[in-house]
Amino acid sequence: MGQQPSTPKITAQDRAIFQLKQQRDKLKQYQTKLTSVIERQNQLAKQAITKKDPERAKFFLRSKRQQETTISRTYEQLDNLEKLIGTIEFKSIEKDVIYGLQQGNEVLKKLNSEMSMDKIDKVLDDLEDERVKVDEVSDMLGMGSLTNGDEQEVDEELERLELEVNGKKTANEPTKVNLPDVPVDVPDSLELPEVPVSVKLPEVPTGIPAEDPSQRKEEHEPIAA
Amino acid sequence: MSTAFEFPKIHSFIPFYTKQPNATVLNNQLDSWCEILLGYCQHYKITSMSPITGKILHSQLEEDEIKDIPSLFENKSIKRVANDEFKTLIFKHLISNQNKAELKNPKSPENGVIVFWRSLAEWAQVLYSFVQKTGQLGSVLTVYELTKSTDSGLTDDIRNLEYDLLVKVLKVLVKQGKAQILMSEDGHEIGGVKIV
Repeated sequence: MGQQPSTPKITAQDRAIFQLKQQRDKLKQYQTKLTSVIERQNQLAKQAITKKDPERAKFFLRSKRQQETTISRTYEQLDNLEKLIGTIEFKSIEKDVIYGLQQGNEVLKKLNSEMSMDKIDKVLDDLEDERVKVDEVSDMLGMGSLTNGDEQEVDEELERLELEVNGKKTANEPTKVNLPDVPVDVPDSLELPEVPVSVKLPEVPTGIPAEDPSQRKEEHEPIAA
Repeated sequence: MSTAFEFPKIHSFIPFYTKQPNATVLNNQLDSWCEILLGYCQHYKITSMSPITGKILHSQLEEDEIKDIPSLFENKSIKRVANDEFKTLIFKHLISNQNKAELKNPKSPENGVIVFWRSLAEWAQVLYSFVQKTGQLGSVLTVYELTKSTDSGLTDDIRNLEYDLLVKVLKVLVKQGKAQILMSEDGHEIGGVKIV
């Protein structure tokens, strides 16, 4: 028996939902039945009319009407049942969610209680103490950490290595110059000022003005030293 | 069902309809019959037949479609029909030699045989994946809801599934620990199931 997988349990809720669903199925079947009855009555009414029996036809139609109202009432009940089923299912899911939240909360609480401030302080203090001890021992053994000079040497070596690996290239590479982009769209027609068609130039003087020789001479005359 | 089942050539072979005297030939003949029968049942979604008359007892198709299903044991074009005795022999072969069918009630064969063109394990898989895909794992489902209801989004695979077959399929799921059966109020029939 131990080999067999455990079968899922049927809870009281399951039973309740099951019963509601069975009621719902019955209602649905009842509706199907009523629909077929209505169809038959419709046919019977038609037959009665062809047989010229309006009273009978009326009777069938009346009873058909009755069934139709019953159907619409069953729809209301069906709706109620579906709602109830839905509510129960949703509530049971809510219950599960709350249970899950509770569990999560407890775990979180447990974890938090294991991480009290004092404890963490103590652990960190202990850690620091141990580290100091390690330093002491290595100092005593002359294996202290690197001195400033050592650090400098390391830096220099790093620089050298960087030069070796990619330094030369980077040194020779011209720095990029930012040039403005070439304008992409050139206006089709440059707007240039119109060429004036008729230019009014001052008239060329016809008569030569009389020169003032005295003035001209003065210009060319060397300045007396 | 828009397309008709295509019977193989042997279905138009006259001696095919009479029991062959030679044991080896008979065995081959019965094997062929069973093969045709399984294909035929799968095509028309027939899940149970009468082993005596060869009548279709249940198909998942709609009723007006069932009317159009051609007869398996009769070939009108060659005017041949298998007699009832031979039909019973074919079903016996299907049940005992091929394990592809099962009497619904061993004491009364007239109740019909369930034809397993899909094995029970495969049926269980089909049903389980339907419930899984529709997000209904863990909720209680009624038998009506699983096979008959028009508004629960049933796939063609399981719509109108025969009750006797469904019970067998559910029992497979119960054995796998995936389902629990709920009896209906009168306590005789399985009313619902919870699949997890």
